[in-house]
Amino acid sequence: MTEFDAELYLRVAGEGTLLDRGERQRPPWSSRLGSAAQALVAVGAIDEQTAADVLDDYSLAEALRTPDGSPVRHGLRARFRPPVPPVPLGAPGPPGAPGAPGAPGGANPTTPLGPRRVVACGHEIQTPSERFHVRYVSLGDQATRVGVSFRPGPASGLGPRRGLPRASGPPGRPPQPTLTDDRGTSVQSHFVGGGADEWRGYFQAVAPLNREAAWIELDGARIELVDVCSPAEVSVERLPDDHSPAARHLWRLVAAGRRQMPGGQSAEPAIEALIACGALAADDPVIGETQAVREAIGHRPLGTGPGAPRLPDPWHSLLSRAGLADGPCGTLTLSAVTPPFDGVSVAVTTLESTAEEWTITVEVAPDVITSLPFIPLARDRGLSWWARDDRGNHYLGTGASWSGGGDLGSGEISFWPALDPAATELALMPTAETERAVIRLPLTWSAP
Amino acid sequence: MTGWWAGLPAAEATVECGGATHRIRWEDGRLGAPDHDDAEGERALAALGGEPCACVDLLDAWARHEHDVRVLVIASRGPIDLLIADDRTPQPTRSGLGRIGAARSVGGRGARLPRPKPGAGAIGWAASVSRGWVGPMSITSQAVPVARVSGGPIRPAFGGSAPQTTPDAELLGLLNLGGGLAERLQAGVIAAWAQRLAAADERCAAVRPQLAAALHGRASAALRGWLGQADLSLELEMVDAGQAPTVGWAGRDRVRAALPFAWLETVWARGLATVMGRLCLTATSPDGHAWELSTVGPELGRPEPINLALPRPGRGGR
Repeated sequence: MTEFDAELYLRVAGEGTLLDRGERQRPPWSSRLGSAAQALVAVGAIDEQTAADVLDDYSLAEALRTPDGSPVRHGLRARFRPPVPPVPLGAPGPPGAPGAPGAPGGANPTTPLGPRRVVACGHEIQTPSERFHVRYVSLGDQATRVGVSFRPGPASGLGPRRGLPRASGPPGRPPQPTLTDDRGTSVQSHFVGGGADEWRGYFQAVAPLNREAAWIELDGARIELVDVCSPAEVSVERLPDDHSPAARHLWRLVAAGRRQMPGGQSAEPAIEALIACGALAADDPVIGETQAVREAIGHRPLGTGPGAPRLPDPWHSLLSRAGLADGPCGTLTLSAVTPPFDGVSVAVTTLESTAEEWTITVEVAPDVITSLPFIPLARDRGLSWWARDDRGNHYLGTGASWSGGGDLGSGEISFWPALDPAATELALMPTAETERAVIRLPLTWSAP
Repeated sequence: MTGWWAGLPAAEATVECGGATHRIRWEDGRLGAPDHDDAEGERALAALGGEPCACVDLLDAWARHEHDVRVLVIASRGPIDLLIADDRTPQPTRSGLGRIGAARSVGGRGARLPRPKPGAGAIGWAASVSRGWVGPMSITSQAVPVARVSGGPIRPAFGGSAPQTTPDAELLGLLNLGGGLAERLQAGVIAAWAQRLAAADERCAAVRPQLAAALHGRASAALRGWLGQADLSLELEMVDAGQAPTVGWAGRDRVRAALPFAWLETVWARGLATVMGRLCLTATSPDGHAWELSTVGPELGRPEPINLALPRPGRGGR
């Protein structure tokens, strides 16, 4: 019997990609070659570097055959190197690594997120050009951020109307207000975020303000900072070892399906690769189980209808509340920061719940989110956003908006189904390959 | 015994060099710059700080890649697999001013890459991941160009005042030469590795997957083009050079074959993969002019011979 050659398997798959025009027109996040590579890496059939080299080769070859369809051009990958495991604060990173002494890029991407003071706000602020809803203020030793939402005014040039100059930012660009603290420190800020009719994100100060400030001003408009913050308990735990590596990868793919873009990654190339390398039997029940869950998720809320197959937990629990719109309405402010888990650190700043869904504002360091859709990576380093309440319900989150790249990403993760109105405690569980963080918080609501 | 280049016609392209248009010519397995009497001397002068010479730079780049297995990853798999040259693809230039001249094939298969657009001499890669796919997850990049990636300019591939090319940029420049030179470069790489495989060279072990995939992709492309089945799949075993090639149907859309890597050298690189509506499995010649091909029809049955005779020099050949 011929020994399975994982590199050859991937390269032959790459050859198929080049000859199949339809395959070449797939968006990079649904690359069949990438999916097969991630599966083979996940079960140890090939090392990550070799798989990455194959993806590099065929990304370049594909780019030379695609007129203008894909922004994934050779050279991008080199800028999206796998994240380096975090090192303790103050410790030097590897020589030449981004963030290491002498390396470009500013903050050390291997530095876990630091503690911060997060203050809930509900202020409406009118500046000469915009009316901002200030959602929170986050004051850390390394960064100050003011979470806002706003509708771009006529002067901003961001909306459908363009025009007049503005006080706090050049026309056609997001506002860049000045932030001032109670000690008189005054710094510029820039907006990170996005949106369509309404923009959501935060103003990041170019230098941190006083972490203990009693107030700050945004372009002269004062925001009193009164600490009302939900206590959160944070821990990191290893994922239970209750599946084979192949099954674990397939379940991870199912969860990832909720964070994929349209035409997202198909499980088929992964299953084929896992069978080819001998990590999965062709008749393994997990193939059918994952397929059933995929279909149930794809057609929610039909997953619990009569005749629907009994899905394994947590999927059964997840789908049992699908389609309900009875969630509590309110906002929680958190200052939860996790230690690194599988090299990733997460900070959760707010949780906003509506009848239909609930959303958290997060930061992730390094940014393992942004690079995922655009570059087929050899290893799936993305996070699955699970949550569980004290009534046994499970929830799954997906990226609703995101900004970032490199050392830090931030944005909003929307969860479904709606929060159970009877739940009093929630555990957020950003989940990586082998570990997950658990952020436990009481569901004590303030005004939405 | 014939050289690997036997049966391959000469190929020629022009490049701008020192303000003039110069020829780069491949013939009998060697690349030369016929408009330079003393390429070695010009190379030495350039090394001492003299005026760089685009032709000599190109010869040097060719030498660096004539055994480069990545050529086989990137280059065309055949007529159904065309590369697209655009202003992202490095062109041979001189300080950004020059472009490929009138590339011409001398009795060869001709340039497959489209001619560069006027003014397309600029070199560089730039991309932004902020351009938009719109989906349930919107990724935005605003005042701070987060999530934005921009490649720096790649210096001129050949003949720049201070060449700082990346290996890929240099290779892409070679594959974009036109005039059949890219095909000759590919043929040379194939021949080099076929010879190494035949000699059980230890360097082959590390690149065996690349070589097997190169064979698979080219054989697939040949079969798909020949049979007109775009979705044809190929189950291929790369066998040793001494083993007889076989090919047969393994289903309505599936072909099973056993081919040596040398098939690429003796058959595919010479443009003999399909001849007179038949698939060629072997091509042998005692003198490089008279060829005996072993071929199968679309039923993939028993091989039948086809004999070809190429014109000899002085009788219409070059």
